Amino acid sequence: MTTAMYLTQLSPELCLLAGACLVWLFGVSKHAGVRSLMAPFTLLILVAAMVCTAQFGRPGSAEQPVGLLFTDLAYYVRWATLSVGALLLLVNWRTPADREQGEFFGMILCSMAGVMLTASANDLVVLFFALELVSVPTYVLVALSRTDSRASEAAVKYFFLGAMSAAIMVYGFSFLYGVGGTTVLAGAAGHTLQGYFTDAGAMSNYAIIGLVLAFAGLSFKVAAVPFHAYVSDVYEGAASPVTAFLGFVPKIAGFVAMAKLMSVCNWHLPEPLVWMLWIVAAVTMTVGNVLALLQTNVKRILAYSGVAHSGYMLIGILVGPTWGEGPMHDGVAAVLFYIVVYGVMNLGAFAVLATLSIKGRSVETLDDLAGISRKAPLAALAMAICTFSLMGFPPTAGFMGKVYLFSGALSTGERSLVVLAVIAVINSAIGAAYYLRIVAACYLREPTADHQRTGGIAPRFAIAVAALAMIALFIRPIDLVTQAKHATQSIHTQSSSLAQSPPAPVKTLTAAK
Amino acid sequence: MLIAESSLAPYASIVIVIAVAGVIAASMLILAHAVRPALKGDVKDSTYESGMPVIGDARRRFNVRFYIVAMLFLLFDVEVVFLWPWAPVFHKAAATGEAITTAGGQPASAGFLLAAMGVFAVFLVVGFAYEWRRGMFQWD
Repeated sequence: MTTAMYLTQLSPELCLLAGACLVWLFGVSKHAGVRSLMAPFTLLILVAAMVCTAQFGRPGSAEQPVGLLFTDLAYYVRWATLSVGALLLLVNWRTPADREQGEFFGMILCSMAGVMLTASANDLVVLFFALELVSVPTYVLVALSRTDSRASEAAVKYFFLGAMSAAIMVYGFSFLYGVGGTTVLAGAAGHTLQGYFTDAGAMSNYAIIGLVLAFAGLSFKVAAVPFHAYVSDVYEGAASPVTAFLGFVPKIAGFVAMAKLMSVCNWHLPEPLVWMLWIVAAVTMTVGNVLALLQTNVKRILAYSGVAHSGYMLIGILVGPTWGEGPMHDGVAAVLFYIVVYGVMNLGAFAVLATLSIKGRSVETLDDLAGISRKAPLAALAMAICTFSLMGFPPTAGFMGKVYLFSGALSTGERSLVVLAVIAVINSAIGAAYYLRIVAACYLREPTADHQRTGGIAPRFAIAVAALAMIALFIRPIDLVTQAKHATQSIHTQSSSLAQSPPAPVKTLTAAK
Repeated sequence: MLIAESSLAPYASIVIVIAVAGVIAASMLILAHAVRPALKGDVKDSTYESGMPVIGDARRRFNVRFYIVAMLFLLFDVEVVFLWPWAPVFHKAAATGEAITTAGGQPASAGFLLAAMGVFAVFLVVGFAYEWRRGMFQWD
């Protein structure tokens, strides 16, 4: 009975993983007709996982499986992953070669399952495995995305650097285990790391080493300085649809894991660590924006803009969830809102690049984009909306996201965070320069090359949804923001809310004996 | 069970082991160097003095098949290792008919343990079928 209950709670992830197995098996079918059905089949699996989330995913008072904790945060991240993931699937509809459909879509499903598990992980070991389940498929996706040597080079670079960052992170986890004597993160039952940090008062040096190393590993996932160096090469080497995937999936996993680690520390870090994160945030947004200014390749511009956006979101992680009522005073809710908005606007911009080609190669540089407003007015309009959103310009959701992030920092009243918000605003102004170059290339320049349309109808549908979503979330952000706010309440009061849940079954079992 | 961080005394034995290992290794090298006769020559300097003739250095390119075979072996070998700790636990549950308390503190009956290994085996078979169909087991 209880086993069945645990399995239903896990059903969205199980759905994705079982679906991935089926996709792998059918993907090697001898019939080209079966292989060509893999993309729609993957969409069907995502819909099934959404149904499971709606049906069984709501956090309740049910007993929690070992190593997992299904909170409102997990609920929010599941929906965010599945819905943005469905858009990413549409963008990637025709990316893989005919014989590689199964591998490609199976890896996409695994990576998404990893994000969802990251959000519900309640154990250092589970957290590590979940984060690797996010990352390892992305290396394969980069390699599969194109047949040229640049993609292989990008995949190898990404793999080796990713493996090193994973090693650093798990080394940090080992320190946390050594200090706390447990791998359990939080929860009511038994000895947990959160409980240890609460009881210990001041944090020991070993705990600080562990946290620094863990944050270093996670910085690679979100592409924060000094672990940002891979971004431009990997984003440029991979095909544009896969790059859109890399812009969202590893980042949401990284930020959720950071929020989890912060909540384990009760959102109270020792001063050196706070300053480390402060410097990382400030340097990340500045370096990202300045390096983006120097690029002429749109994919590299967007890659470095992604670095800058990670810097903005780190502000929210630093602010934490505790600064008052409403979404304007909640750093983590702002991050959860912003990461979804960023994922959608980023995928819109990359999808536009993916749907246009010049003489058989996809559009990449600013010169390639010149004058696409004549040839493809709707694509140019979507590009403009997504770019304005990345810039944080009013009638788009990017503006709301920045408002939430920066107002969270301002509402704390702490001088250091206010300064950080000011740095972020200055950086947004720097960022406007290169975003406007993209828009200017689309609208103001004369077409120099003959653009063809590629990719079929599915990516165009995703572009339309992304562009409309950016406008819609500006007009009415409150629904998503309320959900995000709700999710952070669970992460903030994780220990107290779980105190009401029934005791673990082992106790009832021994009592019966 | 918190480690007293001020005291590193429990780790002293590890330091001693490391030191002893270092001393033994160093003394062997030094002794061998001092005692052995110093003969030089082409045969003496070759990799396998009395073995196979060497055809090149170890950094030449190998056929990629060797790596694939090694990877497949590693995968299935490591996966089969997981069967081993499962077997005695399952035997205990099946023989006594009582639920085993897992490390996480939850009860698991023999049927559940069998089903869990069934899921694991299904994943193995999926991987095996995939590799077979992809032609990984064909040498040529």
